[in-house]
Amino acid sequence: MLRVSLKGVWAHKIRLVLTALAILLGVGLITGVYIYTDTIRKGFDQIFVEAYANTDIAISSETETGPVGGLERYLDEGLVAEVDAIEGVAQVFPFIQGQGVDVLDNEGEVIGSGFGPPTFVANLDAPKSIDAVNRDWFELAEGTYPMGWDEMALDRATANLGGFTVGSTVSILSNLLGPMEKTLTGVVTFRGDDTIGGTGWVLFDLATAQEMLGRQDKISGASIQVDAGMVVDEVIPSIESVLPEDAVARSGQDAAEADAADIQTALSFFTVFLSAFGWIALFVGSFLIYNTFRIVVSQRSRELALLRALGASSRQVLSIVLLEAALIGAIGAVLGLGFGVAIALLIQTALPALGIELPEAGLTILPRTVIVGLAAGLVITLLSAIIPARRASKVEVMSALRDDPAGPAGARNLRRIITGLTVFLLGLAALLFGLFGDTGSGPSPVVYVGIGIGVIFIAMFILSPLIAQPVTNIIGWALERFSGIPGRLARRNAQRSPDRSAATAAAVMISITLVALAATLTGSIRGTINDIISNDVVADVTVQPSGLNDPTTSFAPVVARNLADLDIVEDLSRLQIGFVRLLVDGGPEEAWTDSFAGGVEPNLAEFAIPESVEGTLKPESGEVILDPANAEAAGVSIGDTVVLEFQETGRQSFTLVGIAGGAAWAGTIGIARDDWIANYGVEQDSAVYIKAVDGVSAEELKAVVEQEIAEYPNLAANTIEDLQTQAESQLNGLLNFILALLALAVGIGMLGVTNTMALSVFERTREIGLLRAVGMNRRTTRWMVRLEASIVSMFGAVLGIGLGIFFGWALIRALEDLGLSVFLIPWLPSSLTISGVLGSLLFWLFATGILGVAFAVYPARRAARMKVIEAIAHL
Amino acid sequence: MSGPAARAEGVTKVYGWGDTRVTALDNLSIEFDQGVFTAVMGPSGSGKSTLMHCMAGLDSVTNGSVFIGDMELSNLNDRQLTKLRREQIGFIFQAFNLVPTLTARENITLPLDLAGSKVDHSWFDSVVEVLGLEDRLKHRPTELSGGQQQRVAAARAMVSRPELIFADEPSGNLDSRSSTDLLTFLQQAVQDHAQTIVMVTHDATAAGYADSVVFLSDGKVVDTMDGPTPERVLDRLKSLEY
Ligand SMILES: Nc1ncnc2c1ncn2[C@@H]1O[C@H](COP(=O)(O)OP(=O)(O)OP(=O)(O)O)[C@@H](O)[C@H]1O
Ligand SMILES: [Mg+2]
Repeated sequence: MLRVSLKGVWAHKIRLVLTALAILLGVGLITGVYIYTDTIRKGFDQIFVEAYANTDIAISSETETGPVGGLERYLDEGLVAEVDAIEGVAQVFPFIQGQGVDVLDNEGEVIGSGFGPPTFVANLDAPKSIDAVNRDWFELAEGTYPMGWDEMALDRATANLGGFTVGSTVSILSNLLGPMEKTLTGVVTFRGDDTIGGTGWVLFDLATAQEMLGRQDKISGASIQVDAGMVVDEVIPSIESVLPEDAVARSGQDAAEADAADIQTALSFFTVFLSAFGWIALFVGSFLIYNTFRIVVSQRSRELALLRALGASSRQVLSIVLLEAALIGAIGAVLGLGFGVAIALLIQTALPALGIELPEAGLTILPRTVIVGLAAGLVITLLSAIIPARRASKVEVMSALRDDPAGPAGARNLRRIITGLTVFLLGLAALLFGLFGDTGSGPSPVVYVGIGIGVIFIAMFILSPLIAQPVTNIIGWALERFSGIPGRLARRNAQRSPDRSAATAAAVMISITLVALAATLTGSIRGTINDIISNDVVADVTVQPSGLNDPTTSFAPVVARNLADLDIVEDLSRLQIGFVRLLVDGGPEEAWTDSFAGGVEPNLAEFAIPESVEGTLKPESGEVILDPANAEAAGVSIGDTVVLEFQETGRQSFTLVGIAGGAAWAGTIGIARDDWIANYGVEQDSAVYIKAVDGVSAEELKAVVEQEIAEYPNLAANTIEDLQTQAESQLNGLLNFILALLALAVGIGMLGVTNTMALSVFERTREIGLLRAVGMNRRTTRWMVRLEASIVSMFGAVLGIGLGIFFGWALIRALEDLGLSVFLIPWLPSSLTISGVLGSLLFWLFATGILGVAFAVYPARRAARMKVIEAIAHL
Repeated sequence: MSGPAARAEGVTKVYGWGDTRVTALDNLSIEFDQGVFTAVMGPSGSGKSTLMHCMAGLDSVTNGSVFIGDMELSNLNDRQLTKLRREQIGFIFQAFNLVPTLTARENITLPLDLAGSKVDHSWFDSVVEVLGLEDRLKHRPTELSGGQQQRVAAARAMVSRPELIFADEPSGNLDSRSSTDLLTFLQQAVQDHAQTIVMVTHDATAAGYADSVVFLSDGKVVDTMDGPTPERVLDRLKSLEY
């Protein structure tokens, strides 16, 4: 039996190389992502273990990590003295950490801005005793510890980027205090590395760091060393007794584990995102594998029938085919593991080049990675082979030997429709449940959406042979008009086996669906943003932090004060945005939702027009405005009490005085500016809206404002047109990034076309010989094959674009709460740039057709190179 | 009629190497005159199909030369050979003559479509009528009987009015009526349009339709006969231990 299988594999080696390639790519991508992320995790684990090496006990405020970031509170500095007085405590080293300072290079540009990791502010104090080291994050590599208001230290990577050495004067920009200059007294490293994950560190003594963060007399936490001979676990309870309720004391080891876990949670988005593309590639690959086995088995059905006629049982035939699949699956998966290592190395070298540096610990290959990779490769190959194998084993001996066509099509079609629709409805149910249902404590909605989409793909795959005929007919007709006889032959060939064409198209369909989905989503987001910018913003110029930032990024309030003094400015309104949690269910099991709170000035509505206004737009102290979605979620109406939880001040009650929404307005929750400052403990702005005096154009105002904010390279003045172009280019960047990741899936789908065409050409050897004998030249032969590939690919693209639009529509309906109000199908390019064209659906339709031609080059060449006489003699 | 439409000079065709080496044609020379219907006969394996393929430019020869008119085939590249097959030669195979995805009509006009030339409709109609295919033109090959398929192939070979038609056992699969129709049609073409036809056959009755018969054995021409009748052909075949 094994011998027959081995021979089968060997005899069809070229065709099966392509199958193994599909497995290899999919498995490689998944294991590559695993290996890479495991490597990073191990790197972080090591960092934290070493960072807490000299810490016996760590104090920090209790963190609650939500999707928009944790609400971490600062502690009172007075705790340090209290803890120090506790029996058994040897030394206490307080630390504070936060964001809000940028370092400028000699050209006055912000170092490490944009997409990269953030810059942190922290304290770096001289150790109080020789054997105790201040938090082991940093080692002072050069110079001295910063002391007093005028001194600072930097991490070595940032110092190198700015060209600073010990003694340099460094310009920094504080979100609270504006631009200032400091003397660089020291440079730090991290376990010998210049950077940790590409983050920047601006370090001061404790008092200066507190001031830079606007947190006088506050600390983020402290490291504690206990007296020699004391047991850590015995000291912890007495420390906890002096801590406030929302702070914890943990052993250094526990703290290291907790910090590492936090980082893992933060990284999990990245991991899930990357491995999703790996699974997509494998999913697409499985269609390719399935199709290859189907065709190979049907080509061998005579041979298999002969085996049956010679006395092989149907189980034996089944196991011959399955064994063959297992062999190929195993080979592909093993090679895939090797490929995965290569991919991990590739990501590892590529990311630093993009400015993202993560700690490394030598490639970490966990048993889980090997098991998942091998199992995925094997199982998917076996599953793909099982249907063709069963078909082969059930083959009617005589009909296969006689080459009879299969049974009546009508009955099969009906069964197909019923199965296909059932599967479709199942997938739709999962999708809709994920989008609109209450998933409760079960898996996250994304899982349901993913499964739903996958199942719908399978349903489409079952149903698509039914529409293969008309669709390929239309595409083929167009090509025939265009190219004549090769087009006609290609069209007929594409139609001769709807099953085969549909299965081939399915692999293309999946990747094009995702492409179309991405294009539809970005197109709709673009439409929504344009809508908001052009309808809701009436300011002439806005001043905001430049680049892609989270909305809470802010700047010093002195900027707005200076702008207000300009003669050319008629009026301005300031907006501050911060994270907040909204109590949506006050019952015994409280439920909170993460949101943003905006500090609103009474005149804001004159600059940014809110939608669906009810009540007032001018909250006074103790009053709040909610957007409609949040008001509905919390089940409140005007006059009711709304509970918000702030990072600094905890729970606060407000009275609902207005319901209004709109992205240009106050984020999602609006409170009075004074309330905002009181609850966040700082005064800083996130945006300033400006109107020019009569007779001054927006462009003129912008020029003056730019002059005024020249000292703040992290700020940008934008007119409405500027905002639109920026939104456009940011969206294009996002789309290009997703397309780059999907490119591999598209490639695998197209490999399926290559595979099918190679098999078909082989199968039609005789017919090609006949065509050549009656006068078809090589060129026409080549084009016949290429155009068939093109028709089948475009069939896949048609299905994919249709599905992509449908999924896009469903997602946008689901995201309506987030303010996505426009549903836009981007048929045509939004602009005549490369990015604009890449976002257009029609482009993808034609691009797939051209890719079909390109991927059929090899089978087409094989067809054209056939010796006429050998082709005729074939079989 | 004057001058040969096709001729072979000292043609040798060898398949394989070493142990599997087969000499299918052995220093064979032959001329097929214009406007003549020639039948090629001989035992199985005597090289009849090989000769047809080499004459039609479907296969290359090991030694010697093949001429269509004045053109020597070994001088032609693939493109010129394709053009020649398309414009000057019609070929009818023993079986598997038709492209399964094309209708009968499309199969018939295929050589013209490939050449991008116009179909002469009155000629097309008369060929189709003589072969009795008028109401079968929209059918696919799988919907045609074996005899109909062979007639479609014959129509295809005729429709571009090639100078030469090679037919390898065209009536091999046909019942006697279909076979008679086809042979009469070929005979008619030679008489009415001065067509040159070379036909391989095992059947003495079929050979009786030809103007002359060539007998092959072991890759050599062993005899020729003009104005054959089925009886004389049978006699001769017997003497060739056939
Ligand atoms: N592709 C090939 N490879 C090797 N030998 C071949 C090949 N084609 C034909 N032969 C051999 O060449 C010889 C002549 O074959 P050919 O097909 O011309 O015979 P034929 O006269 O047409 O026979 P039949 O009447 O059976 O069709 C035979 O011995 C055959 O085995
Ligand atoms: Mg023969």
